[in-house]
Amino acid sequence: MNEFRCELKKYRVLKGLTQEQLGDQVGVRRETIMRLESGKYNPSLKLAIDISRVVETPIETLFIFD
Amino acid sequence: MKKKNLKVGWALGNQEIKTRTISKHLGWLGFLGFMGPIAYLTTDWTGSLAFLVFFGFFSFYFEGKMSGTLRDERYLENERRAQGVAYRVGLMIIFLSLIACVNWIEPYGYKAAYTFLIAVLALDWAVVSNLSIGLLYYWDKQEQDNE
Repeated sequence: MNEFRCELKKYRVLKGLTQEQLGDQVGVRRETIMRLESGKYNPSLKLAIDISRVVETPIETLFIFD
Repeated sequence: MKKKNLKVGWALGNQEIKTRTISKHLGWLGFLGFMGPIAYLTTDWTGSLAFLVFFGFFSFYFEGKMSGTLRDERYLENERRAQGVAYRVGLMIIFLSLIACVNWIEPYGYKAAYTFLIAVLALDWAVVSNLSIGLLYYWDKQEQDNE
């Protein structure tokens, strides 16, 4: 099974956003962002695209499947 | 990029939908379920056992604790998972009850079988209601606590 890694935290901090702010912008709760960052939650394609647009980073850079 | 255009909820169009706001103290209404056996013992009215379904009001406790929660994709996923488990448990209870009814209750007469089935179905409804919202709360809370 593929291992899922998420580099969201790094790019979110670079963008100067808190988890709360990012969650607000993509329509999810802070806890969901928290779980995403710790690689415990596999987002939907819609959410992944929304997040990549907000942090202005390619989706394949943010979410890595080894 | 304009931030205001990015505010979208998963599968919810452009709306942010939150859970309804109710008081967790409404969970006390679950004790109305005791009306069933009390009324049955005092009046011998079999239909009164249907009041056991009021035990399902205990689910208001968990619903109250999750009042105003944004129903994002993780919430919806947990909700579907919880409902799936609850319905499976509910159907299993009904299935086992039918077997029990046919094998052990029905020999005591149709009235006993009828009474048993009313009680089981009412309790089953309550179990499914409580389990679906209880599991949702448990998973949602557990995941947050594990952070």
